[in-house]
Amino acid sequence: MLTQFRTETASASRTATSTEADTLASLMVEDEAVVSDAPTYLPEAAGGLLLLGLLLLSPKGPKEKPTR
Amino acid sequence: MTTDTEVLATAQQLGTRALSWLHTCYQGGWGRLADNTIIDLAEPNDVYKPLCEAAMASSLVLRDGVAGPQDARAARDMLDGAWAQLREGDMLYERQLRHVTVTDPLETYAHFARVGYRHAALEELLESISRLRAVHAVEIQGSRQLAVANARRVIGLSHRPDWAELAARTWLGALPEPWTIAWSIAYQVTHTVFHLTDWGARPEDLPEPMRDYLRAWLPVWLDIWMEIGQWDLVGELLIVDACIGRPMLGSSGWEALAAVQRADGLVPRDAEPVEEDPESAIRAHEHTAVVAVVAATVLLSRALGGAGAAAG
Amino acid sequence: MPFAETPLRDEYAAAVERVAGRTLDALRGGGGTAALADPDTVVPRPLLAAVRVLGADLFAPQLLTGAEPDGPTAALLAEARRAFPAPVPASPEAAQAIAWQDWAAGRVLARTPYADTAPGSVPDSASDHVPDRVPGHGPGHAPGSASDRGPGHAPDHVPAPLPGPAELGWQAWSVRMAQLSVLALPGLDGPVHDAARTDHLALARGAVRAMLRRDFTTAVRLARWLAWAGAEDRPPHLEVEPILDRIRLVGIGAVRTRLELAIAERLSEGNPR
Repeated sequence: MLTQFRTETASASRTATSTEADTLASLMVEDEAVVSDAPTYLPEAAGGLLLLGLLLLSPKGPKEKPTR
Repeated sequence: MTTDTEVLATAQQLGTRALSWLHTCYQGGWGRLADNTIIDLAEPNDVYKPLCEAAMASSLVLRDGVAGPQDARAARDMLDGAWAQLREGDMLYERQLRHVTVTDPLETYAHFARVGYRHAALEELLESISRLRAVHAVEIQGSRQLAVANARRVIGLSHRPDWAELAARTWLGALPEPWTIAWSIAYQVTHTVFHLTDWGARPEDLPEPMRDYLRAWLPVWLDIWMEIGQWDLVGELLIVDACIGRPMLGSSGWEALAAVQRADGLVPRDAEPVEEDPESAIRAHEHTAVVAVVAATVLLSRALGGAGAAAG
Repeated sequence: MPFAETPLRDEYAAAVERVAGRTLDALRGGGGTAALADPDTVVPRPLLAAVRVLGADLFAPQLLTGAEPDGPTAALLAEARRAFPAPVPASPEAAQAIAWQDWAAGRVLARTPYADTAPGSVPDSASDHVPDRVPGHGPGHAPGSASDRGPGHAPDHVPAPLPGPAELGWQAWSVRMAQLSVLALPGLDGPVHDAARTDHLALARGAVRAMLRRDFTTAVRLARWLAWAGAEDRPPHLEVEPILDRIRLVGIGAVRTRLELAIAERLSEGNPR
């Protein structure tokens, strides 16, 4: 087995090694984004819906932009 | 594959309770049009639009004939009340007579005509203006053009649209990149389907490529909007699912709506806290109740053999 | 799983970014080697950790241009696998993901003189020993038959295949496939690849979902699978290039993700328009 490299050895402490392992695992396996940033109501886009004489079946816009 | 009976039961519960809530709102005197307000429509979305939406939902309940007697009575009640407010259609007639190119009298009238409320003079007027180039050239977006076309079809007017061309001129008709959808575009998509299929009465009228496209991407749209509690839109996507053939979205959307529905039948439109003031709450969430009623009605109707298809 | 920022994680994450950057440069430069470490110096542990994280993707510059995996990088990866045994995370799903990533790295190493006898993969009691699959996809694939390996090399453990989207739901399944995006490289094939071919609707849905949630890291990984599978011409006909364009335009900060994007773009170039 060819070894070209001299490597730093892990610390003798088991804790350090298991921290390394946990860190490695978290970098190898990443979850999807926890919070969605999916599209929501847009006041500008909905403005056209309120034109006189146009009945578009969608909810009235909220008075304030919804908070997330 | 028949729709799961548990899903049907959940949907039925959701719809009947939402209808009851709507009925109670109107019984309580909410949504009274001031006399003669709609001819020039100072505030079309405040009372007129919700009134018409409630009439629409009631109209579909009666059309599809799958509701129990109590629900049917509530629907008939709301239609009678709305028709009376519109002075048996005279208000729609006067508005359409004065404003030739507006389309809301046509669209509103269709829901009444569908279940037997007729106004001869209004129909004659609508036939007449349908012969004007101007009326067909008004600049309105694709899904709205379909709304107008379906309204004419439901009333039985003689104008014949080119359905394929109208469908092609919608966002959905372009079969666009599904990840570009925005909140308001989603409503255009749902309405495109509603009008092409006449609220589920004609599922076969949806062009096949659009059906395939919806079957691919509806589950994704349902998922992302359920995740952030956009209940009104979730409900509309469930209506689409019921309109296009065999429903494929399963139970999760229905269960989510049933879970957020309140004891009095109100279905919140989103994850924001419901307004404490009753008037504001009705104003904000009335549309979502309408959506819930329509969704349940169409799903049950399709599952029980397409009762709505019998309608004209 | 959310992971608290610690100095060690910062160090390792920074090293991952550096190694990804070198690899990306090599990829853009036409397939040369990344020259990650000087053989005469002590290799720091963060660098070894970073090499371990990127695994088979270290060889993307070669594999995507039909070249063989380069020796020095292979030696470094083999050393990293010795220095860092496969971590055993809390969840079996994460463990399975690590096992598959290590399998991919092991398969590429098997084509070099640095094939290791202790791949470090978590042996999975449910895994089958399946004969090596001859990779049939992409340019520059090498026969992976056992005879290419010298005497004394243990056969690779093949981890258990993932449950399918019917069992997990397309959402959860697609997230797990995103975690295995490193497998989407020319020269690799197996049950996960089969799943990417057959369950392309679920992959496509997962990609669209990630895009709409604006989770571009997950989206690019799934788009990479779709590009690998060349699935545009099958229903639901989700075009991959516009997705990659969009991800490039919105700008992703992490170099590691930009590397995935570049790999996905190369894989997509090979597909019919």
